[in-house]
Amino acid sequence: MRGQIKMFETIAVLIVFFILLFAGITFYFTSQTSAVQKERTEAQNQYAYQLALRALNLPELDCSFLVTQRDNCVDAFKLNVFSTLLSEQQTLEQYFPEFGYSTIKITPIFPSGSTKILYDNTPLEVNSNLTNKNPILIYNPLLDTYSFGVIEVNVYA
Amino acid sequence: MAINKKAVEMQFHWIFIIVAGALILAFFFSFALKQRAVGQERLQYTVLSQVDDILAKSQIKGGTAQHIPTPSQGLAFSCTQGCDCAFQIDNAQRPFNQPIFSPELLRGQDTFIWSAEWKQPYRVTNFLFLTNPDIKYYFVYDPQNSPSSTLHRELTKNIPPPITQNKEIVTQFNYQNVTVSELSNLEVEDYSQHKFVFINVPTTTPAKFDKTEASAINIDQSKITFLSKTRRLSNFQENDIQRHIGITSIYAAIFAQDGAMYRCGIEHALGKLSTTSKILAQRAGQIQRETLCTETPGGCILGAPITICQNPNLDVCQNPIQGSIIESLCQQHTIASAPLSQLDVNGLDLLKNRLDTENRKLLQQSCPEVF
Amino acid sequence: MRKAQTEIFGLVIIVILLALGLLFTVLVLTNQQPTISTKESIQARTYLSTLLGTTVMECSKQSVRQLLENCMDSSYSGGQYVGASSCLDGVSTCEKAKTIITNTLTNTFGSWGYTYEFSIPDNDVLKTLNASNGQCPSERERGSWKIVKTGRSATLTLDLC
Repeated sequence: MRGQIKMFETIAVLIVFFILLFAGITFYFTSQTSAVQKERTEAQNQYAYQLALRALNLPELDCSFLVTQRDNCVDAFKLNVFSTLLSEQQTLEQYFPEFGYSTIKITPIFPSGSTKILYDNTPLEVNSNLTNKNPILIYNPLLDTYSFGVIEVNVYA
Repeated sequence: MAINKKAVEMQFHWIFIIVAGALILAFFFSFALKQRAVGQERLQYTVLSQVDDILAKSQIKGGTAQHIPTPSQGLAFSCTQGCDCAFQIDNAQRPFNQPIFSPELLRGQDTFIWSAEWKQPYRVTNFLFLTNPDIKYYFVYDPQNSPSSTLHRELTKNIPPPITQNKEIVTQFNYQNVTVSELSNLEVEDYSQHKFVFINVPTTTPAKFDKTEASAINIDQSKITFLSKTRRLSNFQENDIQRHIGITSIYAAIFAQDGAMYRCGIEHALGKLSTTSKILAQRAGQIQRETLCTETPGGCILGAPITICQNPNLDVCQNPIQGSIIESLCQQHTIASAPLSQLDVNGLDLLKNRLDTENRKLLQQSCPEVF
Repeated sequence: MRKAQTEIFGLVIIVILLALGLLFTVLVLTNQQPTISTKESIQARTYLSTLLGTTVMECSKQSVRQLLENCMDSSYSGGQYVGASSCLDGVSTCEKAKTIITNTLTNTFGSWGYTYEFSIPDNDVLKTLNASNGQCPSERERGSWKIVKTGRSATLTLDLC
């Protein structure tokens, strides 16, 4: 009888111990998962911002000339030509290492105008997508004016 | 009998405790080790992302030098003959497709990153050169030989100074100027890597380096020869020969680990040149169309065919006006499309100067600059 | 009996320790005191630099920066900007700048779901160009840009939340 009671006691202690252990492990993994998810979103955001920065500093788009040099700016005429070139499969593949799976759009806000899609490469399966928008200047070389615009980068994962 | 039973029971009791305890400990140890491995891998990827971020930002601004702490596991770069280039930290790898030139492995002191613009004459791309003070470079030249001393002067004048923090050198491009007469007396110093840069002089292995691993490049008027030697070889052996396309490409060869990395980076830059020149030519065509194809008098003739007025999407490179800036850009686009081994280097050089002159002329004519 | 009591004591201690541990965890997780924290925002700063560089065709191709500099020289009384130049459409530089600021903020941060507070707190005239679509509660991201003109200065501030 005493032996039986002792055995039940031991088993009870072990059960409680393992319940606590698994509760601790579950709590740990749940918090890890949410931390990883947060890091992934932050990394995607960072990547989208990097893409925008890269695009704005490309000689194919930037506002760097003999007399005028402006940061955070795209030349409107270069934008027209480059977006036409990037609609061709060969050039799209050439710039894939630069822009990956993403869509880059530029929209004039003041004065208002129509959105121009610079680069569009959407994967077949989209698990997640994140958008980063930043104000930029759009330069017109004929009028020598700068419009207020927005560059929108949508990255796919 | 009762005593025997109790004694046996005690033994089993203790065996049970030991086995159960061992199992629990083993479980926790394996869990901790697994977590450690996962943590280590996560850290590698985090560091890799940070390095990738820094390299990307370094490429944006040309003519700058900065430093990054080198991961303790080392930062390795490699390029295959097929131009699959990647950098890695331990087992974590990330591909890159930019003109980055670096030794095979960077370890120890902070990494020195130098970003140099490649202009033709407009900025095409930025070349990234990586090294650290643990790698020693020897610029071997002949002061009596004009081509050698001129090129040596040109190379050394653009090298950025060491990067300091609180008046202490954090990292630098560690090089030494050696004349051909001093080469035979050169001592082997304690560096992880040695690289010789023979500037328009014959390749010679310094006597004291016969049992030392080293690499070298030999630069002449048009080509760069990549060489290396192991401890067993007393002389340098030729590995690769590539063409160079100006001073920036020579720096690329100095920093690149081998001919493959050099060729991949330069061909990437040529690809960018081909695209950028085409974009600038089409843009110039648009400017011409907007200024000339209107009822208002005047306008800017930049070299696009007259039919651009009727066809706004015309490829301006089909029949550009001879001697115009658009024609020069189209020629540049064609030349840059060729592989490095077949590149018309002289043609590229001539076009660079012609484009600069033509672009400046446009300003005098009150036309918008092309670049 | 004593042995059983000792065992019970041991169990009680374990339960108390567990309870304390849980209590500590709950306190740490739920302890979020609201603080007004201001982080630097690259996006806000980029907006300000872009705004200042924007050219206004109807104001003889002056930039918004030039409009603000001109506005700084005027004074504000009775709802009018006295001393400010007029653009080709008859609108004063101050009013033109205000329109552009409102337009761009509405079509950017406003439409992106942000609450913004644009202000120029250190200049009496330019203070009238403040714009916002709500109030930032506590945590905010801020960008600022200083413009200086012959002894006068103004700091453009944009808070986003």
